[in-house]
Amino acid sequence: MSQNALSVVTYVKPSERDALERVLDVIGNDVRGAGANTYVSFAELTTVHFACWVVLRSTPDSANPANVYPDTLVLEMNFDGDLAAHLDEIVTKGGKALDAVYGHCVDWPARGSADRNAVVAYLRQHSVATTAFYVGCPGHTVGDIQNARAVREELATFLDGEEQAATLSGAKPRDILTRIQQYLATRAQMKPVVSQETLDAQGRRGIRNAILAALIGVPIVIVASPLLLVWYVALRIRERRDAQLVQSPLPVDPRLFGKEDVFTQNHLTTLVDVKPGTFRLGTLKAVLWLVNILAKTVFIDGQLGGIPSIHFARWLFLENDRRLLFFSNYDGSWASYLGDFVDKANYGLTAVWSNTDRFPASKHLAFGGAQHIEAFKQWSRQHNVYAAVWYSAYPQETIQNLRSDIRIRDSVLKDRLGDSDVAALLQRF
Amino acid sequence: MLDLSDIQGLVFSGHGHLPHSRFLFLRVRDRKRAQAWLTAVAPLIASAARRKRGSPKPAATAQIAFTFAGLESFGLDADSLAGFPREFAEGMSMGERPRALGDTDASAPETWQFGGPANPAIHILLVLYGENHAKMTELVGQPWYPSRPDSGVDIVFDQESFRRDNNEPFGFRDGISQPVIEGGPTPADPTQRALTTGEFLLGYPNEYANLSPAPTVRSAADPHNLLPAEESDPARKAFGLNGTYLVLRKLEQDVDGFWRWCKDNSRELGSTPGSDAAVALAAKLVGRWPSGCPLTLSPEQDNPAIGGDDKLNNDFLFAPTDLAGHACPIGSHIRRSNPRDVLHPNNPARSLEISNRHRLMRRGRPYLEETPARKAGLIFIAINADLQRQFEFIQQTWLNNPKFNGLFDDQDPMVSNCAGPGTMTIQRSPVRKTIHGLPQFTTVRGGAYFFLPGVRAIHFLASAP
Repeated sequence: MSQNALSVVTYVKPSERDALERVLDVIGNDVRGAGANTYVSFAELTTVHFACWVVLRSTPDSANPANVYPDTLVLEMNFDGDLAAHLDEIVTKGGKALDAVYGHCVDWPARGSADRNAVVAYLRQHSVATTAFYVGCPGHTVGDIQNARAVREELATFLDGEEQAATLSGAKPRDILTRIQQYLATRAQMKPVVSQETLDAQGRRGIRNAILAALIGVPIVIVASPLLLVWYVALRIRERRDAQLVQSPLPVDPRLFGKEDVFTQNHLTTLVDVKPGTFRLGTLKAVLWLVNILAKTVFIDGQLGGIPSIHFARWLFLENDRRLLFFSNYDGSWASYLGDFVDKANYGLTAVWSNTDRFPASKHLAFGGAQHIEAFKQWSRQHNVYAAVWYSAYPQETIQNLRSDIRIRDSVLKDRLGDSDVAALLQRF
Repeated sequence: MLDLSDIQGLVFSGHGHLPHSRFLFLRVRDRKRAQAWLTAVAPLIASAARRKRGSPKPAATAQIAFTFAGLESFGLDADSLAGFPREFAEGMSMGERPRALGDTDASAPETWQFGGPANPAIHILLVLYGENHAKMTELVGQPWYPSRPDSGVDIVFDQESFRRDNNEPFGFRDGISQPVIEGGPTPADPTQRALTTGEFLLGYPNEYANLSPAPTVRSAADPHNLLPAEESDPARKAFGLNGTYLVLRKLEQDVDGFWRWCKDNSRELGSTPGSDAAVALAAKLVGRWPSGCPLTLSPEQDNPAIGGDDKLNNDFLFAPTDLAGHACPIGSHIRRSNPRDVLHPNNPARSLEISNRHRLMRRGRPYLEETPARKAGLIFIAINADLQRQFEFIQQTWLNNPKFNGLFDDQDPMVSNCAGPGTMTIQRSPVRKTIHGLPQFTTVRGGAYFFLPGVRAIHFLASAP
């Protein structure tokens, strides 16, 4: 089953932003609905991996200050399968929250969630297409990931017990595997759900796709090289001009820091204005088009351009392509994530964000920019948006963890593993 | 070429020949008097300049550093202070930082002896070093010693330290694996690449080939022309140049608890031919044997010939022979604090490069207090040019991260401040050994972030109008 992105973008009713933020804080401080939040328990939404509600507070357009963007609410959903079924679940289990939140937004149906069809239509009408979408563990549903984790934890506890009883010392790997399999057979409620495509097969598919992409891409670049040359000259003129710009720093929202590093994962919302003119917008759209294709075909082995810590990420345009919104659900601290960006993927991210306002000076589209790590970190902080509500279905799992879990789960029941595969499997615990 | 006479000596030397030290945490009471006091104490402050040929090593020396509030108390205005990073401005015990650093529960700043929200503000750290007890007593008798009522500064915390040998209180050789700084007086080390100057001093290219950000002041603020010109802006002077940041933490070590726990759990590892079972378990937690010999080089028993040799004990990588952690566990203290070449399992060279962007120069010293109760520990000191990317990153992303390098839920066995019992996974064949119920052996008792200015910047502070 595929993982998909839903982004619902709505304007907040004039002067109701504070009231909206109060509701969001109640939900955000208790996303599982265990205490003060009586609106929704996100954990009941079985199709949701990560969810977020973020308020983009009203600001003027950087290129045209007379144009002021209204307060805007964005819902980010990373969900399994079919949109209709997902919307149905949201309305069924989260109707009260939808009423409380979207009651502060324009055009919310008069009868609210009592009118299911109207609410579904509202969410669909206000959904904005995702320009580029990355999934860290494609093909695996929430239930599937939680199953793999449960299997691994169960087996880890079993192995701990065996160790205590000193039955493992001197045992051959294959004997240990047999014992694991015998143990699993006695655990009727713990049924491993084996993946349709193993992670190894998925990785091989990614490599095949990378070769294919190169075979298709290189001739296209050669044929299009006269056009690309024109584009490149135009780009360099703009980059030199942009490098002369001196802009005063923007304030950083102090609320950001209180929400970070509460557990293993973190969330990043970055909102920037696209540099004015069709040239930059066109370049940005072309880069994101490429990122999206690569994310779906090549970066399917748990790494986005070498970054091994992203569960879900997306880019989308708002306000007639004037603004670019980025969401990421990632492992570890903000500083380590930004460090990974610079250490492992600075060309890719510079190619995207060098087309947006105030990004550190870049050269040849993908160089410079994020390599100025201090300036890049400041730029990122200044464009981070506070997310009042953020939910993760498996907050204790890193991408590395859940891929280990899946590998353990998928191979532990196999009969015909080679000796080295058995040894490697046991090393994953 | 570095101007070593403008850099405080601590950046390049731990003053190892001066085993006694005293850490004085000071608060400015009266700015003008404090400036006169600073002028008086300044001659004792060691720079990194080479001694003249034949001149003896000094029998005593001092280093001085300032908190953000301290720089403010010496008259730096908002314009000058704006150049300092948020981490330094807020300090170690503020806001979300204790959570990020793991300073919670028993290590929470509310319980600290100094530097916490319940303690008096710290403005200055003055560290005195002496070759013997008599020399230290002599320093205390000096006219500039800050206990005098007219000095303009009050002592808010006073910490003595004596470095008997090379070991930290748990009994392991300490101070191994220090980075070498490009352009410094320390001779090149064939076993490791020198790191760029900007990793440890402000105003120089760092590992990203950017200049490490050095705060500046308006030229008008420097009427006596004590500071060097700021190259990027003729209207400003370079205040931060040749300075750096100093992290200080008082880490109390439960030495008895540590060894009792290692003894009680030593049978967990099974038989350990050639070494004491408790020591073998302790070595698994640390990643080195007590002599300093890395487990990666000698998995089964200690080898003091390697441990005692400062070249051999640091001349190893994990990836070639120990990628799986069967010798030095993935979650052991030394592998977490410097993962060398294993962060990218498929690209050791790139991993090493990335690890090198998160290094510290450690200048800590052990302490032992007899009263009211016997307490041992370390005055941990780390020098780095970027608090966030170096000290805080190592603390948060490597040491305290339960998911470090693919682990599921482990803590650093030596320094993690996580509440509740921890877990340590010892990789081995055919399947790992997991030790649950690991107690907390180290507790933070105080700490602060300081700016360690260059020598000219000290004179500037002493005479700022």
